[in-house]
Amino acid sequence: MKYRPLTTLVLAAVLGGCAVQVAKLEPGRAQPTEVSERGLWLASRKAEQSVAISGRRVRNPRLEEYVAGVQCRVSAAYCPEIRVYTLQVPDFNAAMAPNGFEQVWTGLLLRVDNEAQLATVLAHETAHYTLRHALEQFQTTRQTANLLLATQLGLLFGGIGVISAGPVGFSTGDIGRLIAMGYLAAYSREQEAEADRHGFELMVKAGYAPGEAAKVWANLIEEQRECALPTPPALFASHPPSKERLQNLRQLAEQSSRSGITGRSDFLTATLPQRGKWLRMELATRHLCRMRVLLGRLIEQGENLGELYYYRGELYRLRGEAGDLERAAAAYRKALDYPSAPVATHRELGRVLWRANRPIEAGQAFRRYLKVAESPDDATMIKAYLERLP
Amino acid sequence: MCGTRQLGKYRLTRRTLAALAVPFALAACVQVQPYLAKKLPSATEPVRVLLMPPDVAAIELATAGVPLPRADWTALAQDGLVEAVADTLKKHGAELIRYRRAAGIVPYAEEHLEAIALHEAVLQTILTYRYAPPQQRAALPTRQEGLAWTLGESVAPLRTDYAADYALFLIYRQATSTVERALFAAVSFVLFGFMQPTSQSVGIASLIDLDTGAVVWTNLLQGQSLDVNRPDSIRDRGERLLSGLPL
Repeated sequence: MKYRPLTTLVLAAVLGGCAVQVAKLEPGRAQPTEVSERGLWLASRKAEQSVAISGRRVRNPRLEEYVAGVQCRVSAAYCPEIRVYTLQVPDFNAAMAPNGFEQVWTGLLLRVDNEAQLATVLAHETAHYTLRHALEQFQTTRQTANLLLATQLGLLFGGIGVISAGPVGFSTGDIGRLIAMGYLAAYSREQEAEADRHGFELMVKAGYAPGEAAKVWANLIEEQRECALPTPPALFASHPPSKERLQNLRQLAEQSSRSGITGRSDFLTATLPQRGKWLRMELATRHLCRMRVLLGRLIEQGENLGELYYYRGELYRLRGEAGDLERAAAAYRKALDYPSAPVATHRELGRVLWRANRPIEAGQAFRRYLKVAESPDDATMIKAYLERLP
Repeated sequence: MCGTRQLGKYRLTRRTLAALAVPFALAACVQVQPYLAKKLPSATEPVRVLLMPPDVAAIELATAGVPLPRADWTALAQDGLVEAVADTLKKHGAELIRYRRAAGIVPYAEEHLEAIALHEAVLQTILTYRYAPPQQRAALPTRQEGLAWTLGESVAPLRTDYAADYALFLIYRQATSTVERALFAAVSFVLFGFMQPTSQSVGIASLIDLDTGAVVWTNLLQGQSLDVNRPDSIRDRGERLLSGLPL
C-alpha cells in the first residue's frame, strides 16, 4: 500500500468535526444536570476531597484568606462557587476543576512578583471555569477517540492496515493516533489562548495593572532560557509557547486604556512569612539552575535578603562544583549581615568551612550556632565536630 | 448447532454468537478472596459495627474506552450497597452504627482523618503484599503470612465518638461499557480475534478492631460490573463484599 495523502486528509477532516463548544456558565448555577458534566463534577469532588486533607495543603489562615481574596476579586460574581487550595508543590502551576475546585502551587507563588501577576493566573483559571473548558475538552476527547476508532476499523475493514512511503511503513493505527493527539493538543492550546484573553479582561476589570499580565511569562521564559529547560514538541504541546503568551498579553496591555494596581505590598505581607519553607522545597527538587535564576530575581527585589543569601549558600553547597564551597561560605556570610538569616546559616557555614579545610573558622561558626540556636536538636553532632578540632 | 443469519456479506456464525454471549456469561462471574487475621472471640452482646462512608465510583466506557464517571450510577450503587451491607450485618447479629457525615467537601470529622488516611495506606499495602497475583507479589521477609497490620492508636477518636467495637470500610469501583462498546468488542473479536474488556468491578471491604486498631478481616471482590438498576444485583454484590465476615 502506497502513501495515501487522501486517507490522512480524511482522518484529519473527520477529527476536525469533533470540536465541541458549550455555553458559558452562568453565575450562581447549582449542580449540573447533563450526564457528562455531572460525572466530571463527581470526579472533581473526589479529587478535591483528597486535596483538602492532603499533607501538602498549606494551612496558613492568613495566606489562604489572601489567595481566596484575590480569587474573589477577579472572579466577581463567580466567587462563591470557587474554592482555592494552596499546595506546597515546588513548580509553577495552578489548575481549575470543572466544579470550581482550584489549586495554586507554592512554586507559582515564588515566581510571581506581585498580586497583579497572581491575579493574572487566577483569572486565567477562572476563565477555564466559566467557559466550561473541561467539559468541552472531555466531550471532544470522547468524540475524537470514538471517531478515530471507527475510522481505523473502516480502514482495516477495507484492507488498509499499513501505509508505506518508500521503504518505511506505518500502521494506520499509529498515524491515526498521532493525528488525534495533535488535534487534541491544538484544541487544548486554543482553549488556553482563550483563557488568557478572557482572564486578561477579568484581571483588568478587577483593577490590576494590565502590564503585569505578560511579566508572569517573562519570568518563566528567563528560567527556560537560562536553564535550557525541555519543552514539548510544538505539535503535541497542551499550552501555547510562553513567548507567544507573553506577546499576546503584551499586545492586549498596549491596547488597554485602563490602569491599575500591582498590589506588591499586600502580596509580600501574605507570602514572605512562608517563603523560606517554599524555597527549602524548591531546593529539595535539585533543579539547581532554576533555583539560581529564581534566587537571583528575588535578591534583586531585596526582601528578606538574609533568607535568600542563606538559600544561595545552600544551592552552592549542594551543587558541589569547583569553587562552590567558597561561594557557599561567602553567601552564608552575606546572609548573616541581615536579620532574616535563618539560625542554621551558622551551622551550614561551619560545615562548608570544615569541608574547605578551614577548621578554626568552622569552629567559630559552630560555636556561634550553638549559642544562637539555644540547645538545638543537632547539638551532639555539632559538639562532635568541635571535639575533632585541632 | 446454532443457526446462522446473513448480515450483509458477513455471517453471524457460532463464533459471533459466542462472542456476543461472553459479556453475559461473565456477568455472573464474581470472585471473592476473604482474609482473616484471627478468629474473633465470641461476644455475649451484639457487636457494634461502625459503617464508614463508602467510597464508590461507577464509570461508563465509551466505544473507544474514554471513561466517564456516572454520578447517577454511583449514587444508585452506593445507596444500594450500603443497604445490602446493613442488612447483611444485621443477619450476622451485629448492631449497625452509621458514621455521621460532616458537612462540606470532606465527609469526615477532623479528628478522624488520621485513621482514615492510615487505613488507606495500610489497605494499599495489603493489596500489594497479599492480593497481588503470586508472580507479582513482593515478599516481606520480616512479616509472616496472614494479616498482621494495625492502624494503632489512630482509631481511638472513632472508638470514643461512636462507642463501637469495629469499623467497616468499603471501597467499590466498576466500569461498564456503552452498548456501542459492547457491540464493538464482539465485532472486533469476530473479525480480528481480540476481545476488548467491557465490564469490570473491584471492591474491597475491611474490618478494623477499634480497641486495638488491628485489621481483622479483608475481602477483595473482583468480577463483572453490576447492574445498578437491578436491586437484586446490588444486594448480591453487597452480600458478596462481606463474604467471610467473622462476626
